[in-house]
Amino acid sequence: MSLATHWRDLWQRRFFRWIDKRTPRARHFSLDRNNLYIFPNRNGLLYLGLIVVIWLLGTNYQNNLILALAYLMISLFVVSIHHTFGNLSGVTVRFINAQPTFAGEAAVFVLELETAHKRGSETIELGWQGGERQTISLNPREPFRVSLPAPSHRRGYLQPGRLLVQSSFPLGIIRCWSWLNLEAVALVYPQPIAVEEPHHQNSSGREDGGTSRRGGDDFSGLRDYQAGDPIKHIAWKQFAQNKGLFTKEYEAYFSADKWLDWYSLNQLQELRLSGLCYWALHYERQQVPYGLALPELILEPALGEAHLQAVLTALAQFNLAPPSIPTAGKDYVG
Amino acid sequence: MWAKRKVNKTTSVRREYLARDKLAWLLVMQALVILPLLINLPVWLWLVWALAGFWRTQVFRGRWGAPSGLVKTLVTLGCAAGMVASYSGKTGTDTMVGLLVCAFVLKLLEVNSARDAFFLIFIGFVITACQLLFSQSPLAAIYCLCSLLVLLASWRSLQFNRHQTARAGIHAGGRLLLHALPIMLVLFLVIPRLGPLWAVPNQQAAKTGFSDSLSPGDLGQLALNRAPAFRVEFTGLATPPATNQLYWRGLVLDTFDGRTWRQREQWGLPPQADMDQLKVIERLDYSIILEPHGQPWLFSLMTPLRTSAVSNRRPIRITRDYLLFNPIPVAQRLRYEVSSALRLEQPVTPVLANAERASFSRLPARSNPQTYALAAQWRGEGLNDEAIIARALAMFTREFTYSLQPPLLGQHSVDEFLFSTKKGFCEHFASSFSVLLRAAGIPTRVVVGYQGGRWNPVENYLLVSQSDAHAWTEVWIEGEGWRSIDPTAAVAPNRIEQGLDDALSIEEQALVGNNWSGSSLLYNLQLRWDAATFVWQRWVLNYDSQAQEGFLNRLLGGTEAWRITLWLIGLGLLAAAIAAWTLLRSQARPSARAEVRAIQTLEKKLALAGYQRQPGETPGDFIARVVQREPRWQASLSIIGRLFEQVAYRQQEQHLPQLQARIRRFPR
Repeated sequence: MSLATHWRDLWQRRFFRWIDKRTPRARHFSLDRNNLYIFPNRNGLLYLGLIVVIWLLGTNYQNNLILALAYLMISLFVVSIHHTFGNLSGVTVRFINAQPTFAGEAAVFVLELETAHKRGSETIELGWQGGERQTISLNPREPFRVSLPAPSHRRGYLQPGRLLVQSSFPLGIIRCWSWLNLEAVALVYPQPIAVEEPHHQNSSGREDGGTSRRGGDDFSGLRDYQAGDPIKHIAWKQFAQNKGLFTKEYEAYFSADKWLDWYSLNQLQELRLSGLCYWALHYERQQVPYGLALPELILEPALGEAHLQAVLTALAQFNLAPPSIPTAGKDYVG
Repeated sequence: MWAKRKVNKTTSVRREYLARDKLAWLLVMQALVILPLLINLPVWLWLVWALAGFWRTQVFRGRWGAPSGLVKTLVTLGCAAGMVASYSGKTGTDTMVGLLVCAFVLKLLEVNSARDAFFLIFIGFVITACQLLFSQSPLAAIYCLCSLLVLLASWRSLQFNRHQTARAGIHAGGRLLLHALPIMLVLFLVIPRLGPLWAVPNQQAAKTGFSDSLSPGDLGQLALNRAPAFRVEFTGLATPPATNQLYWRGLVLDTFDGRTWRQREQWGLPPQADMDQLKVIERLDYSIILEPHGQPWLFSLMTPLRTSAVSNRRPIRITRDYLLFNPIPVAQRLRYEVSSALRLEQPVTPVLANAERASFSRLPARSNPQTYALAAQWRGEGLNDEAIIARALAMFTREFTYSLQPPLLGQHSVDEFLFSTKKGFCEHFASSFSVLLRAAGIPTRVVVGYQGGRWNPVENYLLVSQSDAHAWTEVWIEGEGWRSIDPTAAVAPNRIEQGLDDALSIEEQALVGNNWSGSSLLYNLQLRWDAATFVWQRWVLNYDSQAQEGFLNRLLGGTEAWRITLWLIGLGLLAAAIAAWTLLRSQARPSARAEVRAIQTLEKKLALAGYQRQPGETPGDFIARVVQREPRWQASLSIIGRLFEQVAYRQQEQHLPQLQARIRRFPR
């Protein structure tokens, strides 16, 4: 690492520490002089150079009108600072919600922006720190919703970090920006990973709720092969006929409620959760009622969207402390 | 469920390529900016511009492909060759501007991204500045402002990422420009002016007016030229001085070759007299704004005592002949102040050395024999110098006529004029009068300059035009020095008293296109327009460090450092006050969110009861605090608090009407 990048990193860390102190976390921000920063960007520095060139032209030719043009350009620079600041100041940013997602996929955070500027606010760039940016424009008195994706890496609570809000409208020579510690949280489910099917445990009074039909080898049909299907159920005949890879389905699969039992698997914690997640999705797709048995939580077998969510949420939150919940007072901005 | 719900998906991605309207803005901007320069540019550049614009439009419409690297190289090489051919390696202002415009035009071919567009805008600024190198008239300045307006509008449109009408774009650009003008004005008035930091290639100043030699017919051509030569403002005078005093001396010609008068020596020596010792009876102070004429001489009334102009930091000199001499030819409009002595107690040039006397009387040996004979005859009659002068002037008055179209003269021009044609313009009279006197042994010289001028009562200044160009004679009188004698005044006194138009016959008036005294309305308009030009030149174009100091003196009462500092502090405080006021006003502005507005209404009601929400206190905390003190409001306030929380933090907008109603009804 060169010295320059070292210093830049150091500077950036200090800058963010300072920003975090200045603007504490909140669900709702109003951009104003307390949290907006403004500085010429590279084009702005070029523009200043251009002013020097024109000033030299005017001075060397002793041409007052060219000098006046140079002064007008200085003046435009100053005016542009005000316009750029005015464009962003008065914009409010609030976190609406975030769709849960599976680890490894992008979580989509929904933000709502609104401007108090009577002409609207133009060309605002939004993006999580280090992420992709989106450019939006706001009409006056019209709240505008933006979906900002952030990559998720592991299950649990995803906090996407600081939100960059910036704009260099109208002339593109002054950059006005803000780093907001937005209190945004998305729930991240474990990544579904195929493992062997959890054992069917018939202990401690948990009777199979469904009408369990005897004999798990009554062939009922074929379906597309999915990763994790047992090898012995693969329809080798069809495969040999080049018809593709199919799995033979047997009545017995559908015959009984399934239990996603924590203790029936023997992987490490995260992989075990991934496996349970996989099977929960699988059973839901197959419309087989399933229950969840975690060390401190039991969900009775059921089916349906709400049940699946409850199960996945339980898996996502397993062994994790809840994130700091925003207190009601913080996001009121009068 | 994991089929993601799409939430209001209306985001737009920043486009790398220029949108249609942005390209259109750039094309219009470019056309406007380079249009005034096209006159000064070689014709082939117009063609390159048209081609580049057309090609770029076709690329945009998808008809043609973008020019390949080879094509671009070829076009660039072609333009480079064209530049070399057109300017043939000269490094002047024209070449610089030509190169800039060439780059500006070629850049259009490869403007694809926002970065390229930025670059184009920046060159646009430089080229707008170049417009002002060639013309600085009020009209040029207005045009320049218009092109700046479009430049700003197109610059802004580059940053704008939705659709807007051209009108809205111009409006927004105009708003930026209007906001910028006041600061520009202040900067223009107070930022100190510096002299040129290094020598720049001189502009090719076209030589106007008369040249440094005088042949018959030279000034007659100028009489047709109505262009202004210079404008004079007299200090402390609201009415013009008598016209017969206004002999603006420019150049003294003292060598005659039989047909043409020339300058014997170049400007060399300083004046003989010590300027500070002269006893002045009547003096006149005036300032002149001289149009660039490409010559080193300036104009003044006899006898200039001192000048106060700084032309490129090299002072104007007063020469031995009491002329003003500028070290470099006047290529830009020049303002200078002169103090002239109209009457002196003793002559500034009391004696003439023998060598000088001889040279001021020298005539070519074998020319104009008749004139020499006439002079010898007058001398033979025993006339002295004064009598010979009187005889010659009387002859002019009696036998000669003033005409703009005199007959052409041959080799012995003075003989032909004096003894056969007898019709002439001022240079004929001045020249023949001088020759006649020299033949009689009296030292003379011909002076070229302007005579008279037209008074402009709107701004109280004198406009001297090229048509006022004049030539007259200065005669050496023993004991008195050089005396100005104008033989034209003997022939056509009107020319001196009222100006050229009155001295000409009706037919010749038509020839010079007499537009000054046509209709009185037109005349008035012309007066006013010229007055506007004068004010523009006086206060804008010639606002130099001197004028700046004068202005600041009048505005602030002095230019001492403490005074300026005090003023700056005062202005800063004023600006701070305005900023604070606008900030306070913006904070008092009702919030855009309905529930916040509602809770502000509640706060106003509680404030009447003496409860103020502290800074940093949340509405919930505030309500809880009030309830503790005022148990009677507990029921209504706690409901309001809960509703507010639901609306503001849980996004349960359906409770908003109830919240508003409860707050409206409060304290019931």
